[in-house]
Amino acid sequence: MKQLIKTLLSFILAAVFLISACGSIEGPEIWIYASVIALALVGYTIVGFLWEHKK
Amino acid sequence: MRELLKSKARRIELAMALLLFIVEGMLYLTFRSTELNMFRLYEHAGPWVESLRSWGDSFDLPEWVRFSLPDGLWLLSYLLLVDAIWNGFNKVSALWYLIIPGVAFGSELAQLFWGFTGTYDKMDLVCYGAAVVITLLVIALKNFIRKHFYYNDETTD
Repeated sequence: MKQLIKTLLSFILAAVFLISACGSIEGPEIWIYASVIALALVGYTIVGFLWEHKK
Repeated sequence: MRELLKSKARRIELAMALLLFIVEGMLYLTFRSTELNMFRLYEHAGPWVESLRSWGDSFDLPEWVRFSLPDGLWLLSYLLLVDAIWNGFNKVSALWYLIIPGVAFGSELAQLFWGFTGTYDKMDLVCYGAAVVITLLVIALKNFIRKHFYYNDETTD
């Protein structure tokens, strides 16, 4: 399977599981931590794509 | 996506993962506090959640089944899905295998040391650990079958 599709599926999967983890905790502040991790994932995915493309 | 479903091992992993995710969700909906964020969504879901919770009241499950097992099932479900996508641990797939276990173990330890949102419970760590061990066993079993039996799987993708 193409690397790009795998990475995209993994990204969606990680995001879904992060959101579901937020649902299993009390209090709204958890969304801040989840947003930081989600942003880090987006950054990693973009840098990963660019890195692969460069090679 | 079609390629993802082509392999029998992947289909089994996907089915198991989805089943575990549904069971985990049901355990949360039936037995956990309605103060959790997820119940804001289910306020609009109709009376079935209330019926499910009333039905759950008739069971006297051990605490670890209500509070820790769902977390382990959640992590196991994620790891099986990632393994179905990547079909093995390598340099590229490592982040995806590690990110959610990292969040799970990290948040539990953060609850212990820094008072992070939630309640620290060592049984949560045990269930997370069990999920990781079961995933490693599944990967080892897949490799064993691939090596010793004729197995038409996508090993090089």
